[in-house]
Amino acid sequence: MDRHTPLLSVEDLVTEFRTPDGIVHAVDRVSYSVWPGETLAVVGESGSGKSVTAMSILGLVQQPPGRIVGGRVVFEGRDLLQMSPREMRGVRGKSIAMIFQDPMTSMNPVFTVGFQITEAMLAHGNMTKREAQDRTIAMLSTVGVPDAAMRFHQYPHQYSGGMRQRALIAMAIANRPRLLIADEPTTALDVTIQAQVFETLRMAQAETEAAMILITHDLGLVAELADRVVVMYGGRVVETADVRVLFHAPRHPYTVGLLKSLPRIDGRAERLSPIPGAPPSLIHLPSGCPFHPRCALSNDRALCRSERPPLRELGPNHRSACHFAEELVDARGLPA
Amino acid sequence: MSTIPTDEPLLRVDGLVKHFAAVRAVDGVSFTLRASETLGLVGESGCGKSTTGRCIIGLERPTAGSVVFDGHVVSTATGRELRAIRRDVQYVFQDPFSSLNPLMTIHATLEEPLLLAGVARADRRVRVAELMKLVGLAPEHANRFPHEFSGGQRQRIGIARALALSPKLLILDEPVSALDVSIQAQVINLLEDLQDRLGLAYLFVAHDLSVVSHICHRVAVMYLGRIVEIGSRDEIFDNPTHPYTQALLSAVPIDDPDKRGQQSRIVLTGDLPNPANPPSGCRFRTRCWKAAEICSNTEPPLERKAGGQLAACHFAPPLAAETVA
Repeated sequence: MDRHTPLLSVEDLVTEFRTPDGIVHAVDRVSYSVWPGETLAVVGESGSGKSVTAMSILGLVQQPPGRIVGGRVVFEGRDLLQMSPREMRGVRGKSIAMIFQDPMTSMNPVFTVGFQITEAMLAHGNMTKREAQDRTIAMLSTVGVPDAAMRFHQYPHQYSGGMRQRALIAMAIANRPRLLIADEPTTALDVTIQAQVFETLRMAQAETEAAMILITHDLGLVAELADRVVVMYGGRVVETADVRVLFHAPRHPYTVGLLKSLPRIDGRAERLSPIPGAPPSLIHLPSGCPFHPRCALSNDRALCRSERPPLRELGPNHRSACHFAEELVDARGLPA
Repeated sequence: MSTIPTDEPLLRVDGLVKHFAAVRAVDGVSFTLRASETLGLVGESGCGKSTTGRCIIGLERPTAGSVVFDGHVVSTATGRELRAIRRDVQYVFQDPFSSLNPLMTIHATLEEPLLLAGVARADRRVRVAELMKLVGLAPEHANRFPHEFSGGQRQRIGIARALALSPKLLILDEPVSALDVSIQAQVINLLEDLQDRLGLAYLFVAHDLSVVSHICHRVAVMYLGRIVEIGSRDEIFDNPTHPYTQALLSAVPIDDPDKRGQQSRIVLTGDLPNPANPPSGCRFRTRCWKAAEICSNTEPPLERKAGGQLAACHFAPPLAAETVA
């Protein structure tokens, strides 16, 4: 495996949606790379473009109303955006697999779980039905589904939420993908089940040595699982850094704001410091830096209003799209 | 109507039971709540925390047990007494998108409870403006519709509506779980301010333990229709004694990459048992790593542990003897 070229790189991706109210600029010149074997967390709040970016990578943006206007998505040397739907189907579910938030809707209720996973294997691998079935049962027990041989013949509704999500992980890793894309994989689950599922995810990743894009709004999960982090806001990447750097020396006011607004379980803080205002409309994005109306650092400076800040290199592996990122140098030690 | 002794809590829930056919949603829950106090009711889906809230406000009629609010027995109240209780106890829903009528302006939404309470027209107008300011919304937006507001603003509207008739108790059912992190913090701060200013009592139903640890004075942990541990915020978060509480707390991801791997996580095996057919003895025993024979024969009583909190576990040790595994 070549560790010097990224497994996947998204370059200047632009995805829009036409709506009666105007054009939604869901993904606005987004670039990021995923290296072999690493876990890249993509964080942001609703409407930040984190999921639409993933859907664009997978060729799952509904067109119309969606449209990929520009950019490239290079995976193992090929631009996924130039592939025919047929070629794309050969990649999806094989080299790139996905795990969605809601395990209830990601499985077909009228087929058994075993049938669906077997099917996914037969669609991509050359093996006999018998081999696929045996491997499915093995996969199910790997992810911790008890009594896998019996569970193989059950329907999704006979599984609990946590077990269904684990079965989906089994399905995702069945073809030994190079890249796993997990979109809020534990959000719909209870805390104790969430812990089971992300242990499973960690194990599945270790077993297949796949890279993972973890899309989430949960910074706790990021701290536990990610190697690197991409922070998105208003359809753009605003900061990217190694996970420790991001938590301890963030260089974008939005990242700082997010970390400050988290309630913490280890100690009752006097008061939370929320980010004022609300996320921007993606139809009428603020001029210049999309975060400027809510920014504590901007102070209404003209540059923030007039010019889109480029994603600048600030240190090894660390980039921020803030005109005044250097002023955050004293933010070290955050969050208090 | 009865009168209350002065040291009586605002809310007293005693042996509350609510069964839906065979499902024992709430199965013997007792706690009290005082003015200006926040009690967190935590647990996973299906543990009965929302049903408990709904019984308190009278949306569900309890199968057994009693709910006494401010000296009034909620389950038997009728007519004027019930209306008085409903004025003093208000409910804030999780989903600010579906709990507001999309066809009503904010003014109409906030005016409705006042109208039903017989408040005069001029006073209603003043009160609506007052309510909007109270929750941090601009009164000049009163003629807008819910879709013109963001999720956080909509939750503010839901809170303003609950406050219209100056209640004493708010039942907050996952009030911030549908909101983005930055907005969540705004609403949590608002709830804290309102409590300080108005002396409100909160029953805070939630599954997010970080939020609960931030906002609650006392915490009750529920499992399969029962309270398994109840105590002050510090008792529960610093020295949990019930294995379920310990597992729940250890499952929360810690938002510091430097502490990765240092936390010993208790990963529970298995899923929640069917509430229609709970395990004999201790309900948690099927997922508990401490379970012994006594656990399947004898239901552990909720009793005071050395640290001060109440816990229902045969093996919950005296506080000093053990910290989280």
